Amino acid sequence: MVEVNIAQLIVDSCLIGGLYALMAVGLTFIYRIMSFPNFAHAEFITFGAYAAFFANVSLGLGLILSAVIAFFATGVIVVLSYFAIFARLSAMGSKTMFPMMIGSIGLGLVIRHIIQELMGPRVLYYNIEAPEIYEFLGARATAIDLLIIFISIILVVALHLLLSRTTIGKAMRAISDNVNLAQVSGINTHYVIIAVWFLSGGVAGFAGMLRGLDTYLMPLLGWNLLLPAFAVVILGGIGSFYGAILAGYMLGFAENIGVIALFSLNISNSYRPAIAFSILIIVLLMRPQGLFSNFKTRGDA
Amino acid sequence: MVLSFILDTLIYAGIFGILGISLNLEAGFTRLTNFGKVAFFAIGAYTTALLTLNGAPYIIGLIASVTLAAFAGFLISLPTLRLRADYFAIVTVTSGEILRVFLSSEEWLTQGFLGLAGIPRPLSNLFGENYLLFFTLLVFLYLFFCYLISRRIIYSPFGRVLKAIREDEIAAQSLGKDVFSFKAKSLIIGSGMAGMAGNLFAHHLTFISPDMFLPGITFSIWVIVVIGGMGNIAGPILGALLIETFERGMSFIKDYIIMPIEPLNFRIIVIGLLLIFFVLYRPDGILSEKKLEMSMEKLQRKRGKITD
Repeated sequence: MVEVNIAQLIVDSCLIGGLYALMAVGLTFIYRIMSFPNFAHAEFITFGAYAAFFANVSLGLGLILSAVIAFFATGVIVVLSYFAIFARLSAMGSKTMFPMMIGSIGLGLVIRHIIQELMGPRVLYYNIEAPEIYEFLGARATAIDLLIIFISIILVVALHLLLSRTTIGKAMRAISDNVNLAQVSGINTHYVIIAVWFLSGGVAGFAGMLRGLDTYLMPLLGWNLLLPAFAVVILGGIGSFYGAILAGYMLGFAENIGVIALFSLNISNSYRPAIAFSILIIVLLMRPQGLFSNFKTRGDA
Repeated sequence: MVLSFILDTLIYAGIFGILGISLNLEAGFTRLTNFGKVAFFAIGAYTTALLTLNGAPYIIGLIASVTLAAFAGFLISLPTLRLRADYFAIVTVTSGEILRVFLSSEEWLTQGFLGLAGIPRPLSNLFGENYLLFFTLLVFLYLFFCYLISRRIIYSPFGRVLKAIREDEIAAQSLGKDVFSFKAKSLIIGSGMAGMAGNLFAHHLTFISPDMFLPGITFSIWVIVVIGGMGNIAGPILGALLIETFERGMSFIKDYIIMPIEPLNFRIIVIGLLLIFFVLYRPDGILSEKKLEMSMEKLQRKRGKITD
């Protein structure tokens, strides 16, 4: 029997769960509003991580300023890609899911390999001092780990306040509920959709930087997180903010518990992605609308 | 040197032509967004490699490749095909990744990252020096076979139902067609063809490893189909010729000229830009789909009811 350290399990799960939640937030909004799964979202995450790296290492800026740059740079790139590709495709007619998916795949390939060309394929690290290690209740966590857990919770709360207290936030929720209904109630959907893309990209870029701090940077950083991010979106219900947050932490716990289970069954640790995959398949079979949503999922949206 | 380069390019074009035809069947005719094509390709390659390395004759490897890949297509169809196209895309793209995890960690079976080396070439002692030429012909024989199958399917009632599903799933359903079963069949046939392409790939390279089956392969196949023309049966073959000439050419000339940009990155950026460009400006591809023209008069003339 494997010894399980509950405190360590909670720390590890909150760490990765918070990242999953932040990665999925933008994805789930765009998915709902534009009705297509944006495969380029993975590369937005990578882009943010590298934008922060550029600010932090090449320009020598501090981490906080780098994070701000990552947020805004990714947001701008994402809005530009919306104008260049997705806005045009969605203007083409009703059945746009198919071309949008292909377009997002193409965009993702372009972004990832431009990054790889400029920054090289090898692993990179941010310019930070070796963090202190804290031990409590038998769990070990670095200062960076705790910082990431803390910041993801802060950001989730900030997003919650934005979506529930501000006009633009309420408009975003209205749009993700029903675009046409939002439009007839006088919301300028055009601007709000742009704002959603910006926010979605910004949060993705920020999450990318956190992931880079947690592990390291490489061009496949975002792509390797695409599967858990989609699992979170579908588990939480497409378009549901609170669903995505809950599902993100749930998947974090499920993966860490699953890794312990794999270990005790003597199965290689590299099967970690298979846990998210199994959850994805089970949710699709049992409750395709997600755990926290009642949107329809069958038929052509 | 040049001749072997040309033959190699033709072999690649043939293999990817088969993959393109199979994707065209799934995506072009049935609107199944299979973003995990590489998984079925890999299953075909590994199946034949494992069998023939353990002494099975080539023909057994071929049959097993096609059958196992088709069976994998059937398995994938179970949880996904009743759902919307986007779920199918997500599940296929991720199952390709999971398969790669399997191939690299089950070392007792696949040798992991070391890969499988020394895969025997069929009839290699018969052709000796001219082997590459023989293999090119073999690839083209398979390609022609797949082309005939897809042609046969498209002009059959079965193919027309597939197209009806593509255009309007609910309408097809309301006419009493079992949409799920038609989609599943399309996926099973397509996956079988991808397994066949994987079989050729393994025997051509004689060495395979998990790193050869990256998602990039899937997107190359998508570019082939999108450029060639979705829904046109000759489209993927044209697309495969163009793209593989470009890809092989890039890996050929990189030994001779120094490029300001890494050839691999350049290749994939071009593929990505082509996908975006075609989707935006020429969604039909180079050869657009031939629309079925069947007026009542033509139909009756065909049946011999009207005679001039």
